[in-house]
Amino acid sequence: MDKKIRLVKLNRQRKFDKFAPVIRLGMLLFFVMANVSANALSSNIGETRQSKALENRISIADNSSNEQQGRKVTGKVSDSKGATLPGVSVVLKGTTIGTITDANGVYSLSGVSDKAILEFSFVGMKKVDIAVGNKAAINVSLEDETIGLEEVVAVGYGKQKKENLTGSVAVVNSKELESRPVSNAGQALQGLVSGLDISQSGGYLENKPSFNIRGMGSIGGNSSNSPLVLVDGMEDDINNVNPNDIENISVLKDAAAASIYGSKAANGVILVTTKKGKDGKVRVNYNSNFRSSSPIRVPESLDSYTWSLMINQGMMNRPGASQPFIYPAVLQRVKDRVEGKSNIEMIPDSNNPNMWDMSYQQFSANTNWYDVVYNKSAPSQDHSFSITGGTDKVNFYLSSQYLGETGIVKLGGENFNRYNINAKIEGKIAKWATVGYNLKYTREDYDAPSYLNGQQIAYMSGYNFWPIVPVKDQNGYYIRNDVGSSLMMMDGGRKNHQIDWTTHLFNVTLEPMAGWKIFANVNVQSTNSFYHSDTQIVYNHDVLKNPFNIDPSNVGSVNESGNFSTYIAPNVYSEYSKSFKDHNFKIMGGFQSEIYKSKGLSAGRIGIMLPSKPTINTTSGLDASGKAQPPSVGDYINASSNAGYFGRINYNYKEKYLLEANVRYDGSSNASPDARWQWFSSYSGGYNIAKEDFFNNIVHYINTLKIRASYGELGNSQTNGNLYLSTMPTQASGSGWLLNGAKPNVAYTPGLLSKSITWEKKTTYDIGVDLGFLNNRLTVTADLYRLKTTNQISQGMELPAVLGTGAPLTNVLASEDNGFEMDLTWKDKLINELQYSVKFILSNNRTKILKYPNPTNDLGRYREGTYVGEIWGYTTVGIAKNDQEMTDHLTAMDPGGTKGNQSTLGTNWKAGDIMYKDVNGDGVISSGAYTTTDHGDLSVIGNSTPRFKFGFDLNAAWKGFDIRVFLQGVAKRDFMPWGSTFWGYEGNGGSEWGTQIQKVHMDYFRNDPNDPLGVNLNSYYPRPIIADSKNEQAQSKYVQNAAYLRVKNLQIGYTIPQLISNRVGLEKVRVYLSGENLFTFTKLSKLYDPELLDYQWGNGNVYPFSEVLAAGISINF
Amino acid sequence: MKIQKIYIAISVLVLLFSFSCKKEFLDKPYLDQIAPEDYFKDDGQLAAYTIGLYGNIQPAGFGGAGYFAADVTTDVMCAWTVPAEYTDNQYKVPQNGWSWNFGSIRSVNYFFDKVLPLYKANAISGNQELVKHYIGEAYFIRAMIYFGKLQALGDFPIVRHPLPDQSDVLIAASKRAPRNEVARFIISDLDSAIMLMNDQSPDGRRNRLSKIVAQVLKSRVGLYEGTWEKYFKGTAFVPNGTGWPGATKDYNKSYVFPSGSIDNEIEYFLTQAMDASKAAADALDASGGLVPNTYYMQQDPAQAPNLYFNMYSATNMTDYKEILLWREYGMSLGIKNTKAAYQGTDGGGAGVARGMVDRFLMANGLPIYDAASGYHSDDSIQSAFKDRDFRLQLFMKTPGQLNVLYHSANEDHVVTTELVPNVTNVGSVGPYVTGYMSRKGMSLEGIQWSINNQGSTGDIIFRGVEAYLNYIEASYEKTGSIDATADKYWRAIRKRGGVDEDYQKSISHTVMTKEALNDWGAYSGGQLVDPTLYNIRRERSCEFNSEGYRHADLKRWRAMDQLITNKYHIEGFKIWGPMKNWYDPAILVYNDPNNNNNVSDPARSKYLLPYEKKTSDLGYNGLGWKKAHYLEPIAVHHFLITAGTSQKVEDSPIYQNPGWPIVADQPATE
Repeated sequence: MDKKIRLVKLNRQRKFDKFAPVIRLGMLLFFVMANVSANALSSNIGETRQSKALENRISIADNSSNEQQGRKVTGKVSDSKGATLPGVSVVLKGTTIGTITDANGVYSLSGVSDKAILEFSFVGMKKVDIAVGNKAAINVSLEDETIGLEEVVAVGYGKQKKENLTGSVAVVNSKELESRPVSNAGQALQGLVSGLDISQSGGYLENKPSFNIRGMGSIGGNSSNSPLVLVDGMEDDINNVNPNDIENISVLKDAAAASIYGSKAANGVILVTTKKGKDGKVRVNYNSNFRSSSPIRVPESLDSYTWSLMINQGMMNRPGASQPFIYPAVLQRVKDRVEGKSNIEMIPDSNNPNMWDMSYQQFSANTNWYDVVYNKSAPSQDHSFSITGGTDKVNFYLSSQYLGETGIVKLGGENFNRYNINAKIEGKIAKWATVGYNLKYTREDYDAPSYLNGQQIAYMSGYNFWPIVPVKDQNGYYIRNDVGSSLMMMDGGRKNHQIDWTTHLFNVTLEPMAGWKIFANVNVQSTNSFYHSDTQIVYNHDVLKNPFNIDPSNVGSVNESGNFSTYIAPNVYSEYSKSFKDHNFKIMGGFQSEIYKSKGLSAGRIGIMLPSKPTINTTSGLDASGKAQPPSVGDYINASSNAGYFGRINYNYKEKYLLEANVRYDGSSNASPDARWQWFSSYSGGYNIAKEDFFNNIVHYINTLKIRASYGELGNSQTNGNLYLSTMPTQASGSGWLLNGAKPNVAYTPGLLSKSITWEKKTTYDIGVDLGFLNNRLTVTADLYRLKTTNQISQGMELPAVLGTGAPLTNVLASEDNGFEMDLTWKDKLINELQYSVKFILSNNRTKILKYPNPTNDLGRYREGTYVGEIWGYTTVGIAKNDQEMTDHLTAMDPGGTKGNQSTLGTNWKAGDIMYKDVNGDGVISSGAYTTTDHGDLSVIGNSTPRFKFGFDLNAAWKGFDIRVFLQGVAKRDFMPWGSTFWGYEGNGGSEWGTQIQKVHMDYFRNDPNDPLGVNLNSYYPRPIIADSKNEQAQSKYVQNAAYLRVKNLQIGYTIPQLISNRVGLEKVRVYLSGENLFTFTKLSKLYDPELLDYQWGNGNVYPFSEVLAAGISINF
Repeated sequence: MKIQKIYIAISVLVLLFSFSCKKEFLDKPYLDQIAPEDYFKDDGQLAAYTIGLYGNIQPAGFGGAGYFAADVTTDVMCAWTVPAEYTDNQYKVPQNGWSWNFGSIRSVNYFFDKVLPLYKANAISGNQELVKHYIGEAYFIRAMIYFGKLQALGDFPIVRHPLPDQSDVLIAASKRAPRNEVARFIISDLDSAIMLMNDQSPDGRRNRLSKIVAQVLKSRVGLYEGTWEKYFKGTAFVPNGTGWPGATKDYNKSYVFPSGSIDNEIEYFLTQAMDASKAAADALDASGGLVPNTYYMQQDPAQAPNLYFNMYSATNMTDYKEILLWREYGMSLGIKNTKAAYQGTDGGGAGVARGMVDRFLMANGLPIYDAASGYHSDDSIQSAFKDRDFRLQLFMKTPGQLNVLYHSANEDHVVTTELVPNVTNVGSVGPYVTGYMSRKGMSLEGIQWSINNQGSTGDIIFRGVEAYLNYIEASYEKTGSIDATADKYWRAIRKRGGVDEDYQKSISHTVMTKEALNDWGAYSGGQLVDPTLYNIRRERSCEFNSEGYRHADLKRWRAMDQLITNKYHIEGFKIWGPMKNWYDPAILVYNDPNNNNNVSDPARSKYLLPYEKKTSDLGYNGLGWKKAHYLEPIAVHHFLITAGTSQKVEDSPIYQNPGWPIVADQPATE
C-alpha cells in the first residue's frame, strides 16, 4: 500500500513532460490487460467454480481468512408480495464471494462462517444485510426500491421527495459526470438534461459554455436568457466547480419550481449540490487522467498548384477580367514547388533586390496552414483529490483539483490551468443547532498569444492562410505579411489573465421545536482578476538577413487591468411541517438579498523598452517619432442589488393529492424606482394515481403514475445593465480627430430612454407525467410546456426619421415557446451480472412571435405569427450544364426578354451558373419589397432553429468492466451557409483577397475539356466568379441539413477486483479510457461544425472543437 | 431551555433582516458615469462634445483614395462601373435610408438645448472666449450638415431642437421647408458661427474651426443656392416654380419668399457669397495667401520640394497657410488613412477623364484647339501634358516619373517609377480606369505605403483658394462682369497654377462648341454659357481637379440637361493611337465572343471608353440623365412611417422630389 501511494505521489511530483502521459498510459494499459486476461480465464469457468477460484485465491492470499472453512447456507428470496425472485445477488459482505438465486429464487452458498453477513441485492429492491449466526436456512423477502422517484431532490430553499414534486425538475447525479475529459462541469452536463441547452462558442481554452433552459425565451436581445446557477445555495459559475465535487444537480425548469428564487430565476434555475462530509471512517479519493486533444472538423486544404488553378478560374470568370491572378511564370514556380522540383517560396523584390517581394501573387509556397497552426495532439492533465470523514458531531470534506490544459493552437501556444480547493465542515453544536462553513477557492490562469482571437481564426482561412503563402522566408525567418500571420502569433506578444474566486459560505440550521427549522446563511464571494496583454515589435528580415520593424508605428505596448468584485448574499428562511392524520402541510418563508460590487483599474502605455520585460513600468511612453504619448488609464465601479421576500405552502393528502403555491415579492436595482418591486406567484398540483387503492393490483407493473400541472409567472430583472438611467458618453483622449498630434477628449449624445420601461414577464404552463414500469426498471418523465415571454425589451415602434435617433427600448415584444421534454430510462441487471442502463432524452421547442411592431411586415424584422429562424431564399432549378440550357431556362421564364429574368441578380448567365425558379411566374427573379405581402420569388426554404434535441446514454457494467456510450445531437435543423467560407469566393463587394478555397470547393462546375482539373458537369458548386454573388444567393439547393449525432463520450473502465485492491490497501481502483467528441455523423458541409453554427466570426470561421482521448485512474482508500 | 432556543432563533432572523433592509438598498445609480445634467459645465466639456461632431465636416471620398477620387460621379473622373445616376433605370427610389436622416442634426441640437441656457445664465466656467468659440463651432457644424441636406434633397425640415419620441410631434416636424429657407437657415447659423468663433483656431494649428472657415462655407452656400435658383428658376426644383411639389401640401401651398421674389432671393444669396468670400480672401491674403509653386515636379531628394505639390500629402499642414482647416493623422496612434498610397497607384479605382485633361489651357493661356496654341497631341500622355497649364503636369501621372523619392524599409507595394498605365489588370495594382491618373495627394515618401497602404497624410478640409474662386463666380453671376477684386484673385490663381495670367486672352479664344464636346460645365439648363462664365468654371475645375467639388458644381449649374437628349460618351486616354504599342496586343481584349473584353472597341473610339467595354456594360450606350436626378429621391419608408394610421404615402406631410415616384425600386419618371 505504501508503495502504491509513493508511486502516486511520485507521479504527482514528477514534472509533467511530453513522455509522461505516454508512460502512464502504457502502465495503465498493462495493468488493465493483465487483469483482463486473468479474468477472461476465470470467466470461462462456471459460476460456482469461479467463486471457488476466487475463494481459493483469497485463501492463499489472506492468512486471516483461513478460519473461514465455514458451512453451507441456503434459502429462498421473494418480493414483498411473496413472488420468488430469480437473479438476486447473495454476497458475503466485504468479499466478492457470492452467488445468485436460481429461477425459483433459491440460493445456496458454502463456506459461510457464523460471523458472516449476507448481503442480498437486486435491481429495484432495497438491499438487505442479514447476519448468519447459526442459521442454516435464511429466507428473505425484499422490498421494492422505487428507483429515482423515491429519491430526495434539491428544490428551491429545501428538499423534496421526488415522488411529491409538482414542478418540472430534472436531476443529474455525480455518476453521470464521471470520468469525462472535459474542461468544466458545464461541458459535462451537455446533453444530460432534456430541455437544458449547453453551447460553447468555440474551442478556446478560456471559453466557457453558456446555458439555456427551454429554448429561446427572451428574443428582444436586452434581457438575459441564462438560468440562475446556484452552487450550494449561492449564485456562482458552475464552470468553476470541480466536477468531482458535485453530488447532484437539479434543474428547475418551470416557473412553479423556479419562482421561489424570484426575478433572477425567470430563465430557470440550476442547483448544484456539492459533496459533504460523511460520518464514519476517513475516505480518500484520487482521480487522475491524462489527455490528448486534436482539432476536429478542420477543413481539408488544397495543394497550392490546384489552389492557384482554382483562383485563376474564379478570376477569369469575373466580368472584365482577362488576366489570371497567379501569372503563368509564378504558376510554374508554384507547380515546381508542389512537385518538389524547387524550394523557391518567395523571391526578392524586382524594385529593391535586398527586400523580399511580399506581394501575395509572387509567393510560391505549398503550405498546409492547418498543420502549421494546429497541434495534432495537445496534452492536458487533470488531478483531483478528496478526503472525507467525521463523527456524529462533526464531519468534513476536503478536496482539491488541478487541471492543466494546452490548446490546440500550436503557434505561440495556449495554456490554461485551473486550481480548486474546497473545504467543508459541519458541526452539530446542540441537538437543535447545526453550523457549517464551506470555503471554495478557484484559480484560473490563461496564457495565449495576444493575436489569438476571433479575427485571427478568421484570418486562418482568409488570405493570410492561402497555401501559396510561406511560413518562413528563404532564409528561415518567420515572416509577417499581415495581421494574421504566424510571426504575429509567435512574436507579437502574449496575453494572460489570472482570476481568483474565493467563496465563503456560512450557515446555521436551527430546529427549536420538532417540525420547525430555521436556516440562516451568509454567502460571500470575492473575485480578483488581473489581465495583461502586450504587443511586441515584430521584425521581418530582408534578403541579407537584416531585421527591420515591419510596422514603424508600432513601438510595442503593454495593457493591464485589475478587477475586484464582491458578492454578498445573506438569506434567512424558515420552514414548518405538520401533519394532521393524512393531511400533510409544510410552510416556508424567508428573505433573501444580495449586493454585488465591482471595481477595476486599467492602464496601458506604449514603448516597450525590453521585449523580455513587458510591464508598464518598463515602457517609455514614446511613440515612433519620439513623442511622449499619454498612457491610457481607466477605472470602473459598479454596484447592483436585489432583495426578495418569499413563501411557499405545500399540502398533500396521503401523498396522493399534491398542491404547492409559491409567492415572491422582489426588488432589483436594475429597475427604475417606479417599477422596482413586483409580485410573482406560481401554483402547481399533482396526482399520484399509483397510490390509489384501485391500483394495487397492477402496482407491480406500473409502480408510478403521477400527473402534474403548473402555472407560474416571473419577471426577469436580468436586463443589460439598468435601462432607466441616462448617462453622458464621454471618452478621455478618445477622439480620432487629433489636436496637436494627440487624441483629445470627446463626448457624445446620450441615447433616448423610455421612462415607462419595466421588466419582461415570463409565464409558464407545464403539464407533466411521471411513470414507472416493471418495478421501476423503466421510468418515463414527460412534460409539455408553453412559455410566454411578454413585455420583452426591444426597440419600440419605428418612429419618423426626424427624431434623429433610434426609438428607445420599451416593452414591445412578446413571444411564445412551445415544447416538450421526455426522459426515458431503462435500468436492469441480468442474471449473468450484466448491469446496464439506457437513458434517452428528447426535447423540442419552437419560438413564435406574438407581438412586434412591424406594420410593413418587413421580412428582415420579427413578424407576428411567424416562427423564429425562418430562412428565406430562392428555389434552385439546378446548375446549367451548357449555355443552351441556361438560355432555354431564361427564355422560358421571360420569353420576350423584357421582364428581366435573372438580370436583377447579375448578368452574363451561362453554363455553370445557377438557374433559379421563377416562383411567382412574373418573368423576373427578385425579392420584391421584402415583405410578407411582396416577397417576389423568395420563400421559406428552411428553419435554423435546432429541433428535436436528443441525448442517448448507455451504461453497462459486468464483473468490474464498465462501458459508457454517450451520444448527443439534434435531429432537425436547416442552415443556409454564406460567405466565402462556404462558396470559396467572395461575392458582391468582395475581391480575390477574401477567397478561402478548400478541398471541398474543388467540386465546382467545369466544362472545358482542356481544364487541368478535368471536366465536372455534375458539380455541387456552380462555376466560381470572384466578386459576383449571382450564384451565391440563399437558395434551396444549398440549404444544409445541420442535424447531427455526436459521440460525445465513450469510456471503458475496469474496476480492479476488491480482492486485489484490498491487498494493496486500496478500497477501489478503477482505470479507464475515455474519449470526447470521437465521432460526428452529419450531412452538413465539412466546412462547419454542427455545434458551432451560431458562433462564426465574420465569414464563418471558428476555433474548432477538439477530440480528446484520455486515460485515467480513480482510487479510493 | 425551549424559550431560550426560540429567542436565539428569532434574534437570528431579526439580525439577518436588518442586515439588508437599509433604506435605499436598491438605489444603485451609475457610480462611474456622468449624468447628462452634470455635463457642459466648462469650456473643455464643450470642446469635447463639438470635436465629437467633426466627422460631419469631413469631405466624402471614394475607395481608398478618399476625397481625391470623389469626382468619379461626374464628367471628369471614372470609376470601374458607371454611376447609377447616369443610367436609364439603375437610379431608383430606395426602400429606406439615404439622406432623409437626422442623427447628426439631433446631436448638434442636443448641444444647443443644453448649452445655450447655461451660457445665457453664465453658468459655464473657463475661458469665455473659448466657450463662445465652441458654441460657434456647433453652429458651423449644423450649417455643414444642413448644407449636405440642401444639396441632396433641397426642401428639408428645419429642426432646431432635439425632438421627443412622440409620433404626432415627429410627423408634424417632418414638414419640408422650402430650399431657400433652408439656405437662409444655414447662412444664419454661419453668421452666428462667424460672430462667435475666434479668428484663430484654439489649437493654433487649424485642426479646429475658425472664423475664416465659416466665411468660406458661407460663400459656398450663398453661391450654391444663388446659382441653383438662377438656373432652375421657374422649374419644379425651386419654390413656387411650375410643378414644385411643395405646392401639393397645405403648409407650403401659399409660400411667400422673404425677399418678395425669386430674383431677390438669387440676389440675396449671391451677395452673401460675395461678401463672405471677400472677407475670407482678405483674411487669407493677410496671413500669406496662396502656397507658392516652383513649377517643377521634384524628382530628386536633393532638389527643393515643390510645396504646391507637397501641400496635398503633408502630414503636418500647419505651415501651409492656404489650408484653413485640416485633419491630422498619426500612425502611432492608429489613426491612419490610405489616400497617399492609392493616389500613388490606381487612385482607388478612379481615373481622370479625357475631358478633364483637355480643358486645361496651354501655359500660354490658349485652349488646345486654338490654332496658335502650340498643342502637341494626345498621342502619348507625355505629349498631351507638354507645355500645358502647369497644374496638369504637376498633378497628373506621367510614365517614367519617380513616384517615391524617400524610401523606407517599411514601404509595402511601392511603385517607385511610374509605369505605363495598367488598363486591364484586375490584380494588385490597377486598373487605371481611364489611363489618365491623378496624383494629387500622392506622397513622395515610401513610408506612406506602410502595411496595407496605410499612411498619415492630412485631410485638407477647407482650402483658401476657394474664397477667390467663389468671389469670381458669385460676382460675375450677380453683375455679369469681372470686377477689380475678381481680376486680382483670378490672376493670382493662374499665376500660381502656371498659366498665363491674362484670362481675357483665354476668354477671347474660347470656342464654346469645342468646349461643349467634353465639358458638361459648358452648359446650363441645356444652353451653352458665355465664354467668360465658362472660363470661370474652367478655372474652378482645373484648380479643384481631383478634389471632389465637381459633382456639386455640375448640379447647381444645371449642367446635365443636355444629356437627357444626347448621351455622352466619357473617354479616357487615346489607347488606340500610338500608345497601343505600349501593350502586348494579346493582353488587350475587345470584341470577345464571350464578352470578356477589357478595353473598348477601337471601332467605337480611338479613346478608351471605360464604361463601354462590353455590350453588357450599363454605360455601353453612353451616359444619360433625367431631370429628377438633380435631387435625390426620398425613401418610401419615410412616407410610410409619417403617414399616420392610414399607411398611405399621400397622407404623409413629406412630399417627394420632382420626377420621383413614391414606390420603392422605381426609377425617376422624367
